[in-house]
Amino acid sequence: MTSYYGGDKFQRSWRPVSIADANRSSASWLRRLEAQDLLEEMSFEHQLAAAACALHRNARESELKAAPQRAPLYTQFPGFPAARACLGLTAIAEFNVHSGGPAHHWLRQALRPSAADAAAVDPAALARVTEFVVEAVGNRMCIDHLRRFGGISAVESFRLFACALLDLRFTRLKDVVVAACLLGDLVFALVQREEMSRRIHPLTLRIFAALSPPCSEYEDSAATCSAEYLPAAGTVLAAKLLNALMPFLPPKPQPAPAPAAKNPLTGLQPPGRSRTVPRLQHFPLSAEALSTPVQGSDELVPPGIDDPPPLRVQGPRPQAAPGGDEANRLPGQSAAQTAPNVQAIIQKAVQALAEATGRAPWDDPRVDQVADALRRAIFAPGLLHPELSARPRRVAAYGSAPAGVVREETLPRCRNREAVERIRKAAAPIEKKLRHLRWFGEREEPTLEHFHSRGGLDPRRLHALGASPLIYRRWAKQTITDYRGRPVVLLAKDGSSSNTLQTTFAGQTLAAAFIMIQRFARLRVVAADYSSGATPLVRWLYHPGKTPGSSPADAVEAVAALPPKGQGSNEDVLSLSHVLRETVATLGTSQVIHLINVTDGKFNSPLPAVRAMIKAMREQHRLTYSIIVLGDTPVNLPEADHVVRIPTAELNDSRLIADRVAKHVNLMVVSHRVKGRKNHEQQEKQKEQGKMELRFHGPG
Amino acid sequence: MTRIRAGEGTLQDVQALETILRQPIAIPAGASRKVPLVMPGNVASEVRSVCRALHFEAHAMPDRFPCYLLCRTGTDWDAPDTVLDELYLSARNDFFPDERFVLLMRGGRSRTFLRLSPLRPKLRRHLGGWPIAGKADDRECDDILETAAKLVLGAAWYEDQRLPFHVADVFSLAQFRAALEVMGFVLGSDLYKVSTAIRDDNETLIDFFENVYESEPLAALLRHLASGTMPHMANLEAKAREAFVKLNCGFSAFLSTAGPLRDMEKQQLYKVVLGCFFNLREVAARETWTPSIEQARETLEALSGECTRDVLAALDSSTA
Repeated sequence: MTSYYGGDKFQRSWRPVSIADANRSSASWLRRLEAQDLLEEMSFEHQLAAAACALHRNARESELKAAPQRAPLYTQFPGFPAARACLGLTAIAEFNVHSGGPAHHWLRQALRPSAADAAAVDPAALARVTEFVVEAVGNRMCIDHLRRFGGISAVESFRLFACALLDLRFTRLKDVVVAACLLGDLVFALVQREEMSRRIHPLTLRIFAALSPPCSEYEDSAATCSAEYLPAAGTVLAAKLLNALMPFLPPKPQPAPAPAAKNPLTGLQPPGRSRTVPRLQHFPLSAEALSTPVQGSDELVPPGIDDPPPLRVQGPRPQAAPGGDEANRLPGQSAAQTAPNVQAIIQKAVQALAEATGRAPWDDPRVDQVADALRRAIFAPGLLHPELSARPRRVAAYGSAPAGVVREETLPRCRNREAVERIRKAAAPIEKKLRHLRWFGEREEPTLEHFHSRGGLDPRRLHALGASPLIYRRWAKQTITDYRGRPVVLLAKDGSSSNTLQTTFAGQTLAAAFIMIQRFARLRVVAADYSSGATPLVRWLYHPGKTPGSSPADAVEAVAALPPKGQGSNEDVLSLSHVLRETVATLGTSQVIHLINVTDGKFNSPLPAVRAMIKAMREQHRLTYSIIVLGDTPVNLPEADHVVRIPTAELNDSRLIADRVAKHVNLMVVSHRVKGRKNHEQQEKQKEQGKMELRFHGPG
Repeated sequence: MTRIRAGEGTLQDVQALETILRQPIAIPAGASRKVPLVMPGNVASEVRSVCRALHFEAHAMPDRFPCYLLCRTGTDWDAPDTVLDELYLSARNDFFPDERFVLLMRGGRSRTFLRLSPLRPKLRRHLGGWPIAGKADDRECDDILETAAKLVLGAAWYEDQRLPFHVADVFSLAQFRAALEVMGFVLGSDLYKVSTAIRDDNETLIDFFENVYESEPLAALLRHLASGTMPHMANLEAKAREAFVKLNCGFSAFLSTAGPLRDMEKQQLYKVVLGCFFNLREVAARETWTPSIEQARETLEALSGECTRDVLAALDSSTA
């Protein structure tokens, strides 16, 4: 292994493939696939074991309900323990699905605080805290059950992973409960250390101290009890945890008393303030002074019941000094009109922070963001998986069609070698015909043009008039053939349900052929299939910034992973717009784009919208639009540059397809080259003659 | 930002922070357009347009404040991805959970880079005082670092070593780390090619591993390869594999040490290491070590030294 990009000349592979390679960016694609297979197989085994634990009998494959979890692999945790943590999380998710989830109904029922307690505290806060306790205890019992009675040690790996991710400032009460209940054996010792406790609010330390005895008692009892007594031990733990937390909950809201005055000597609030856990305060929109202090993230804060915002104002806000900013106020304006608004300022800053740390839409999940998301919902399954499998994107359509949402995903490599070989074999004749063709790009070059006078004005004597030479020349952009430039071929394949087995296979063959020729024919290929489930779905077959395969050869195998027949309907306009926009955004627009739409000719979008789209695309980009119609459906699209039809009778014969497509591509490439050559020749001729055929509006 | 984080900031500072983040900035050295920090993707591409080797990365800390890394990466097509120099690094950042590897986004994908930048200041100092080299310049440092990565470190460091290296750094297991590197280098390199590559210009690389990286076993191995006498590869590999298995067992035994830290007597070391992976240096500070971990350390160090000696001895005895 150890083949970092470009660095395998002096290295060789010596270690066996392990599950740690499943998401390793430096591993070869083949190695990653093998590792992913291995991880999937182990996930499956862990799921079966977890389901058997929950159902108290052997589980069947069809009974498995949870999706394999992969989020820990996308963090900076070391590879092998992270992969084991994935297995642990998968097992926990599977167990929870079958046992009714971590929020067990019976556990919730058992947690009924006494009437006096319930009357004394804020009911909303009590409800939230009960949820925290139920969830934490449910997960704890799940882990204990799987580890002790199911023999699944990977859940312990996930528990340790969760502990490593903990934000040791403990700004949320939920984190405190989870840390105490699930990770207490490590966390209690840590928070008692002097250097660590200095970074934690005293209230948090008091809560930990209150939660420690019930957790220790549970550990002792759970270590020896049998499986049937574990729920009872969990219920006792939950009740004790809630009782321990009751003194820290905020009291029932009363009419607000006058704020306690600060001690004039120390400048501190009286100690009563931090005896209970605060709830998030929603300040009404109001005008405030800019000198309002802001709560710092490094400051010691008590754990909040609600998620703390990244920025918030501190304590009671000072009143704006009367007439403090009168100098800035226009005549007739009130103070409220000129003074800044606290919430607006903070919201803008939070928005700016979010944007400054955001990621590009086509980027891999970033380690810090995955870790942050995991930290927020540490034992919750499903994180990252939906986002990775199909990300929703808001798309502005070209032409008249309204904007909409398109989901996009990248296809993995096909594991069925027979299917891959079938596609390769069918694509070979087309590839053979197309690979010898050399594509040339186009670029715009600024050219200096000279005006020349005609008639009685002798250009050689113009200088005698004293006219500036500047007015006799201008810069113009001219499209010229770029012999080193590589045009972009964007192959968009229709994958809607109207496509039969025949047309789908022919489309796959074409896509594979174009991907294979790109390194010979000096072009860049981007290929996508578009179909739909609930919403339009774009599946990238090859996109240099999106698909994981680093070489186009890998991408050919992704083509074989497409379903053999079309699925669902689609929104042609939205999907094609998205495909083009993503291509332009990644590859730039300096070169001409040849959009080749492979379709069966049955558009799901209205035809006027398709026409408007093609027109808008051609206006906005340097683009040629070709449509390859597979089958006999008539297509009336005068806006398209080229329409190639492959009749149904010829769809099974890849040689006939090759002939037709090659003829079209030849025509397209040759016409571009002829056009470019003509431009060039014309320019050279004009240079030689020293005369430009330009309208002259010069002096005189 | 520091003021705001420390709780000394006011609403005015928040406003100023937002203004700074949204303010378009021009990247010096011929940048064509101004880009604000709220568009990190554009800033990255603009930085890259200045020079292909420059890389810009922005992360969010757990409190949502951004941290930045501006670095220079290696451009040798033949070498592994390397970070050669850190031009700017936020004081508080999460880019480097371990010292040798860094995950950076390149072309929309995360890629692993070998982090050589910490070696740079020492190399520069060394070259400055080295009578042959005279005054060190950046290009010379780059060349040496890239060659070291290409020929040796690309194989000696691999990502599965992140955990043992991190543990070795925290528990000061110098011999264990050196032994792991030697095994990685012997098993993961094509030693014939490496030998051919260093035969002509061997002094610099060996000097680097001897005086800058300070790994005597690696320097000895390279010296042997540079001398042109090729070892018997099959024997050497067999010895290295054997030593590798021994090291694995030793490390596993080390991680199983019970009661490694003063206030965690009930735990085994692996729980502390994995459960506190990102804070391990602080959690397992030297003053918290118990006699049991001290003893386990000594055992592992002795085993590591023995393994390294075995492999180096095989090098001498198996010369073809």
